[in-house]
Amino acid sequence: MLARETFFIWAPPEAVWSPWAKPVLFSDLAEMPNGIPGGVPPLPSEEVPWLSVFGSRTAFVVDLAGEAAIIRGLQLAQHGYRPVPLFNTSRAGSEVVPTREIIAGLHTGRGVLSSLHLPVTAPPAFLLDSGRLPHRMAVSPGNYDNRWVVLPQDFPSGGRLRKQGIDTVLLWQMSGTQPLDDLAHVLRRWQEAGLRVFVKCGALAQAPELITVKRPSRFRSVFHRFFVLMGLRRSSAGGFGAVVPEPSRNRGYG
Amino acid sequence: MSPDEILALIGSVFIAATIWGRWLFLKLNLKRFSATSSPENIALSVSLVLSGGLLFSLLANYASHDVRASDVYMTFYLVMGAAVDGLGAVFLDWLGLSMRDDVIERRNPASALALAGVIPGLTLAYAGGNIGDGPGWWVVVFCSGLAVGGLLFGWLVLDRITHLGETISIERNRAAGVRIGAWFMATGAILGRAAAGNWINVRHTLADFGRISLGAIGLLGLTLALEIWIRPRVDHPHDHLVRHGLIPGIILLCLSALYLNHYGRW
Repeated sequence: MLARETFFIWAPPEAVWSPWAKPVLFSDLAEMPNGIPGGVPPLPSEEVPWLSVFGSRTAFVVDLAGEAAIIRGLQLAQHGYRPVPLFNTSRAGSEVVPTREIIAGLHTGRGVLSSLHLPVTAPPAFLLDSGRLPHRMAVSPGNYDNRWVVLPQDFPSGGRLRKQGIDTVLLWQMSGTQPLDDLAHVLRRWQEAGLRVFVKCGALAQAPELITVKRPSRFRSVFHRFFVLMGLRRSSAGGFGAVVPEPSRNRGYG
Repeated sequence: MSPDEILALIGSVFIAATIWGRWLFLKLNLKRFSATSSPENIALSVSLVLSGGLLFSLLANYASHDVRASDVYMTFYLVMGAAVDGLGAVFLDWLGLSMRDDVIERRNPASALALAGVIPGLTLAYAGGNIGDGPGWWVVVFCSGLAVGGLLFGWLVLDRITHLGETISIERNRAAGVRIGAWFMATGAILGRAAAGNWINVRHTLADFGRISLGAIGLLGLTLALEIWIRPRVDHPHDHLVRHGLIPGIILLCLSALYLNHYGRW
């Protein structure tokens, strides 16, 4: 019940962007009952003077590490944006991608979001964990391989965003002026659909910068999905994540 | 049953149970995060049940006489049908129409509508390979393989030229989902008919299949033209369910029915 209730607070069925929210990580809420220590500090307008320029015609893509993505998403919610959790991974011991802080953030969001009463058409702030794919190397046996990626199918299309009055996208990430490779496939499509893409990194007050998203490798290729998912493990309960099996110890005789 | 038939049955049970069982488990696990059952998902569920009934009915009426007379063989070919449908849908996972990712996990209504036509389409293609008398199960595999393979190849062509997979999975255009579901059914019926008939030899089967499946090529050409004409654009999304989905879908199904009527029985 806790998982379902919390998910519907984050993604109310009537909200425009809820169909894109990922429920998988909410399943683990009951096992880890604590929120973010200290709650969510506000994001005062004077510290982010550029924020008011963007307004309701902007969609955010928050690609920060774990807890930071949730905190930023909840801060943006206080400025009228609807945080849409896209964490498509699952949790277990010996996990490769830490999820404890994200789950704590989902708990905290329950209280924050229920007090805000965001309108159903509030512009979206899609939340991602920038540590979702720490490396492409093989994971050691016995570990829980919950690395994950995003595909264009995980986001609304550029046409859908424009239909809802969105003409600008702001990517908020730790560093760099280009998105991570998997996200580039999404942002490049949006750019081709006529949306302007800005990137925000560095100090809070530093204004976002308009960028041209470079065409990623295998863009629109029939093999993109195959290659991007190669080596990752799917969870039978949804999303990504499975234990890497131990190799058999009974090889040969003697 | 001979040892090779038992082996084929065990393989079919394993494939069907693994694929459909995983999807069912995932669906049940994520069900609690859906507020209500969407009409699109209901359409898909109904389509799955009807596909099973359709396959049973075709086998019971038109399969080889020794199959019709035996519950064991009927079960064998029904299970094989479930395995073929599952494998076909898994193959489509990589080609832009994903049961797991789009329908179950992403709750994409357009994909649900498309898959509601894909499964009966695959079923019709598979069922065609069962129609008529033949020497063994491998003939069914060969003939069904031709029909199902042709259907999947047709989708590959359609998707590469029109990017319909993206229209359905990213744009979530329900009208496109309905059109493509109808195309799968219409083409599956023609290719199933092309694979149907009493077995003579491989050469005869290929000749028959090539001749009758020309209708599927014609239908593919027509669908390509239609899709290029009503390709969604930002200013013209072409997403009216009746005007851009049901009406073109019914036209495709009617053309397929007329073509099948022209060829008559096998």
